[in-house]
Amino acid sequence: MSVTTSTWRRLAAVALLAAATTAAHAGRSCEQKAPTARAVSRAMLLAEHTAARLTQSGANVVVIARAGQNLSEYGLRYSHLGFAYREGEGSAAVWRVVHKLNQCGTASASLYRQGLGEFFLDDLWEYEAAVVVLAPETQAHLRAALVDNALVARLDTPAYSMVAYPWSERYQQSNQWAIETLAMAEDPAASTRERAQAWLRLHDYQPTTLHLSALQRLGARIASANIAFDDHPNEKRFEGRIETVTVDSVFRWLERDGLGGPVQVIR
Amino acid sequence: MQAILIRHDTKAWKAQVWISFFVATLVCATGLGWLPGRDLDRAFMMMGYLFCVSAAFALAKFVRDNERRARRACAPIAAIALAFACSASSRAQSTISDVSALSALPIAVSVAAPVDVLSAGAALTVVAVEATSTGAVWVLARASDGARASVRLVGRGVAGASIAAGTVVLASALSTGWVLSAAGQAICFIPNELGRSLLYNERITR
Repeated sequence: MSVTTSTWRRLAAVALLAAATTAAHAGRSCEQKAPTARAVSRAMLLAEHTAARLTQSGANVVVIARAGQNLSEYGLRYSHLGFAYREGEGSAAVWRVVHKLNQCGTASASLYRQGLGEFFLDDLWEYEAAVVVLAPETQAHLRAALVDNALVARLDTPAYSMVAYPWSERYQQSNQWAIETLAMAEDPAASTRERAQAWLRLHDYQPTTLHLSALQRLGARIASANIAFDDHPNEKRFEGRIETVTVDSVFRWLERDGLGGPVQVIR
Repeated sequence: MQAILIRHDTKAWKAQVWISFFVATLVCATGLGWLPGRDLDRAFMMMGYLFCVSAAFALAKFVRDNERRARRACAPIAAIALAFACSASSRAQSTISDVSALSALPIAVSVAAPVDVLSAGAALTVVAVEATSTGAVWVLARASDGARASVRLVGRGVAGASIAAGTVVLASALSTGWVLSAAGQAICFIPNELGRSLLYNERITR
């Protein structure tokens, strides 16, 4: 009797603690915190270095990633990626990033075209950028889509989950939008999300598997509007195997599939 | 110009929220622990508590999300905090081209730079602040010789909104422009030509 009572007590405490800690971590995004002068100066310097390196590389379109939060617990370095492309020629050339951003921790996201300054002035965890130069044909295909607002938004689904399942169409996270759009640019037949995902499977894209316990999943689902698990297949979901599109998995795949070169780190 | 709503939770409020949460948790857990009855009854009670707590979380989240939805018209992008898009009204944003082409930085951005008054490490005093439909105009005086310049800003960022006449700001030179800061917090970015080439913001989908 006393054993079971203390077990229950412990369980209750664990459950409540889990709820409390996840609630504290949720909704980081719309915090109205002014950046420090140092953060602005480091971000703008990183933007400047990145622009210089990209121009030097001679590329027109690259995949660019930033480290917005510490994901080392999951064995990941970068948190978010987008496509950067060159606009204009010669010394007048500037770089623009097209990427998908989640709005203030809500359950939806939109596409943005931004400068490198905005891309890095986003409360970074590490002031470094990772860049993969795409293969020349891939660059040409993708560029045509990136400058066309209608085309680039064709596979965009506003419903957002940070851990969206790569082979479902219910939600779409930022990195997932990027690789599905890449698929569409590479193969015009991949004109729907379903077909783009089929193309990705055909090209052997392999998502990252995160291992999340039932309590972690429950806590995250309750406390964050931008996290959902109901698009994951039950057999994986209830075993705590959550597959999603991560920057690190995309980088590995691009090189393996010959779509891009090695990862270059810019500081 | 519409008043800007900046919500800062005070330390006392944060403390109260946490303390009340823990007191409630503790009291419930204690009560549950010593509740006379069978384990099955306690298990049932715990299930009830968990349902109540999760329902309360869901309700709070729902209220919060709906409020955000109502403000979506001027909601800024993800993790970039209250940017100029939120300070300027959404109507102004769509009609004034130089504003929409500028950035969504979490700090105010100057569109007219008083380069002659800004020298590295210069301490400046804000002499006057005037709100405009898209941001603000600050008149700055250099501490060393009293030379004046006005800075026209789009957006105010977060710290910028609390700037009043009399605030002392420090100018730091970067290769991409100047950062004005008060007590270490960036309040305004004044890009030079290189800085401007790195800034752009356009929302592609709604």
